[in-house]
Amino acid sequence: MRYLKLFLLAWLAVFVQSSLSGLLSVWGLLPDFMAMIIGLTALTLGTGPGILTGVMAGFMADCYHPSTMGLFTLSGAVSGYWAGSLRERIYKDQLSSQLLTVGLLSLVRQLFEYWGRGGGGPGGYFSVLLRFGLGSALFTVLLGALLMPQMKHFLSRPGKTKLSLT
Amino acid sequence: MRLLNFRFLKKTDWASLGAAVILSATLMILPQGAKLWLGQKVVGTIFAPLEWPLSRARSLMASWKENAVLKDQLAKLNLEHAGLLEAARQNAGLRQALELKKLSSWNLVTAQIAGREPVLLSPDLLIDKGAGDSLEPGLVVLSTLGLVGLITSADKKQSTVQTVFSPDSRVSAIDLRSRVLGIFRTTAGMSCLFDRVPLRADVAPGDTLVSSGYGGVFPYGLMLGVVEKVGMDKRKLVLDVEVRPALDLNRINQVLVIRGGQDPALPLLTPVPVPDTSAVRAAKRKRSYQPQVIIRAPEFRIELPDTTPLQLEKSPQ
Repeated sequence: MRYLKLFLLAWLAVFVQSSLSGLLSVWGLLPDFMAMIIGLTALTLGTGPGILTGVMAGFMADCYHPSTMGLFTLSGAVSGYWAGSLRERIYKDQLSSQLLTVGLLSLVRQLFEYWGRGGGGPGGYFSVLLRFGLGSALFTVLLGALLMPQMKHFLSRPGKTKLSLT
Repeated sequence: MRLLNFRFLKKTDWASLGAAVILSATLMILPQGAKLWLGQKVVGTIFAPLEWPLSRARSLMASWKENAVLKDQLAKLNLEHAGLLEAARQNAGLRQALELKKLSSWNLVTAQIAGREPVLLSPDLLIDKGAGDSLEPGLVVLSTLGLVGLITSADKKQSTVQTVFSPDSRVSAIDLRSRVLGIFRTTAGMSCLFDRVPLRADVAPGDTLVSSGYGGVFPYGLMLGVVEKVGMDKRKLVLDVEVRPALDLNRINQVLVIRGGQDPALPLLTPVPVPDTSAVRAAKRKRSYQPQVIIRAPEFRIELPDTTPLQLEKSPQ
């Protein structure tokens, strides 16, 4: 059941990212739902579930872009690991800490996407970062402030859910 | 089931990260065809079922926005179209008025109809020119359709025109074909009559009536209407001639006032043979019919002997 829950969250993140994020586009900036889900899972449940969610969501995202298959899986896994490793170093229950982590994750994922798709050198990355990356990360943080409390409630519901693996 | 037990993640996160990296690397080194197949299978299985209704919803939303934009455009274009139609109508009216001005030797003043008397039958017209434009009562008003009426009063900026449909209006008229004189008038604004026409006069349906000029008020040649029906009552001394008027007050928005100039000469009262009546056309046809004898050459071919070599032999001599 717990893995099904993680799978559903990953599936939902990819589906919303691929199908609905266009409706939320503001000045060409899109929110990063996958970063939101991976970050929240890793902070709430630990590094393992974070990596697992990252791998599942990344693999589903890779299926939309088969030519670069594996790239999003890798970025999801690294994001989950990194967010999970922060868990012991920050106030993980504070919403502001979670939002900051999610914003940084969004930037990391964009870094992977940029280099994985042959975007160019570091100069180009900083240009993309200034034009879209920071705005998208900020947008993700703002949207996360609304959605993440509900998602956290869903993840850590008492009863059958026993995901405290760490 | 042991393989699906993720408890080993407790011990080290590095192991899980390593497994994920190996998985990613495996996916990366897959052949391109396998990547495509895998991508299509996964997307087609777990995402496509929800994608269809979502795309319908997106399309509906796009149509809704597009519909609003198109409605706006349609409203603007309708307004523009109405404006262009009105401009075309004014243009046609002005062209006709210009032609009329060129043809006549009158001094004409163009005026717009500013209003109509609010009555159902034979309303008087208000025009936007008045005494300030040297208009005065008694001047004749016409339009491209024919005679309109007479100015009865003139203020500084507008004048009132009594139309030919007024029950008080009488116009001396003439049948253009037979030169029969009569009076054009209306019966209480309901129908138009060609009155005072003797019983034996030659008036037929389809004849054109114009003002005769013999009344001294209206000049000769202004269109009044076409004879529609001729009735004969032996107890009367005159014919009952109903006329379909040329003027339609609902179709004019511009008139011309004759402010002076040279009136045309009064018409002859003897019938002039009209060159293009049906009798003349029949006579022409009769004259032009002559039996023709057509002499045709025989259509079969006669083969002649080829004399070219003989001529060639003779030519050096």
